[in-house]
Amino acid sequence: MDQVHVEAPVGTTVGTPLERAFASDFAILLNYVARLTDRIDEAGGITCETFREIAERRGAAPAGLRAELLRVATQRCRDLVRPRRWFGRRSAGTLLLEGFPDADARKALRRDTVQRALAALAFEERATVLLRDFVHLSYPEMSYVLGVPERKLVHALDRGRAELSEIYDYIKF
Amino acid sequence: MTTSSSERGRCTRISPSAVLDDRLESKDLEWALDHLKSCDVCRDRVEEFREIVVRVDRLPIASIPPSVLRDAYTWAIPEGLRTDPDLALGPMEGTLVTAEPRPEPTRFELPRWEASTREAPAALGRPAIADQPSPPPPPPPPLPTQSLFPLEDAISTPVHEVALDSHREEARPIGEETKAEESPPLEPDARREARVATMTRVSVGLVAAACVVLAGLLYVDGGLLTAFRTPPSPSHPASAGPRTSTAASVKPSRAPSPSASITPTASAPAAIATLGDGVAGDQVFRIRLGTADPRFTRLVFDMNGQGLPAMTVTQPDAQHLVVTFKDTTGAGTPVGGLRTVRLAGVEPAVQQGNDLVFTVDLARAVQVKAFTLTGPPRLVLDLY
Repeated sequence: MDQVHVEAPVGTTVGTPLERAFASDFAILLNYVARLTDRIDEAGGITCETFREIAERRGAAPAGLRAELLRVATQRCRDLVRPRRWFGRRSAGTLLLEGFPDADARKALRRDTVQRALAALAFEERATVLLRDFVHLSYPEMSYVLGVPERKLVHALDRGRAELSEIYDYIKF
Repeated sequence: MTTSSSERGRCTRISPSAVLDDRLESKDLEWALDHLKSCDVCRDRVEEFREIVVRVDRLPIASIPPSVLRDAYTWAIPEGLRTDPDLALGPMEGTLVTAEPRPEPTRFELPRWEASTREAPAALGRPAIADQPSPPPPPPPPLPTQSLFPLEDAISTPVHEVALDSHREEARPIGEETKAEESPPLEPDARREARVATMTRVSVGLVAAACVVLAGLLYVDGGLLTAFRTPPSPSHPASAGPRTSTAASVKPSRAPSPSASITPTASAPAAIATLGDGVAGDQVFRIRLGTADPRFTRLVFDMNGQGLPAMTVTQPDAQHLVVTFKDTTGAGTPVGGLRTVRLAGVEPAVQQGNDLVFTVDLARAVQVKAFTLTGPPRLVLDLY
């Protein structure tokens, strides 16, 4: 298994809450964005902009800072992958994180069979499956991030996982 | 979290996600466990879901280099909310003090407002990291201890007295100054960009419209292309269309040919692939589209039988593929609904003696890759 284990940074007990969230969640948020959008190059910029937006808003985070970060990041990804209109104005250029992805990151985020099957899912189903099985959010947090009532999440997960399994079975050979 | 419905004849009384995520209450949980003991379908679904959960869970996580993390920190956390990246990020880089000078303040492609903010004098008021306790440096390095904010580094170094307006150009003659003042102000960037974008859209639209008109002239009903075609020779009436030659090549007609010219012109098409083990007695029972990958169309022929029959894939012309299964049945195989950007359809199968022949209609010129799979036997055509 070529899984890369990422140690949580030490020394996260100091600094502002946003700094602590940055130290502990930046890597997983970036990986989540890369998996969700299937665009490695833009994932770093989206993640940075997410932190920036949270910092400048200075609003309350009812479900916790981590859930708030994931909610904003998911919304940004949703805007990014939304199809544009014909001759629609292209959005402002996304921030590019220089030095990322390097060769190791490209290897870790390569389009293997599971990633290709994920990319074939609808966006909401992909987000649901990733938030639960990749980021390991709880159901209340997922409900806040996705804006879906908690009682509907089980069925959404059923649909997403069933479709993912079916697609994976088709393309795995 | 259980349901009492069935979907396409499958038992769906249990939500596998509810079982896997521990979302069931005590009574429902007992009922679900009892049901799982007796229902193979639900048990298989739960196992299938468990496998996919494990696969997603084991997706590799890309690590982020410390230098990139520091740059991201500089950009993502505004100055007012920053304390000390060394403390906040932890000892990820060993020591924050780096002697190597960094040529640029940041390695991001900053938006314009961000760049101007960095250059603003107000930015100088933020706490300098050089003031943080640093490891005891016996020999004072040429640059002080930090490299995140080179602007502040420059301030903490010995200062040379420089005149405030030294960066300006030499005073120009009065005439030139007035000329510069009288010149019209530059157009704002936003307005210029909007104008460029509008012009780009208009030009792209015009080009697209021209392409559509040109395509219409060239291809609709033969269009202008008919003017360049040589009229069919009266001595070869059967060679007018490609479809005729296809039929002639695939199905050698038993009836006497109306024109003797078919036989010499209809040459046997070259086989793209010859596959299989020569097993007899198979039956093709289903044809389906087999992938969600948009780069190609996968057409899968599912078979019942002991192995793979001998199969031949030929392409008599650019618009058709002919797939022949030797010693195979399956003339009633449903072929409806098979349509993609590359695939126009599949014609109903024709039983020719012991052989089964499918004609695949292509929507465009494609490259064909054919291969077989066993258990159950399948023929796979990938149309690129």
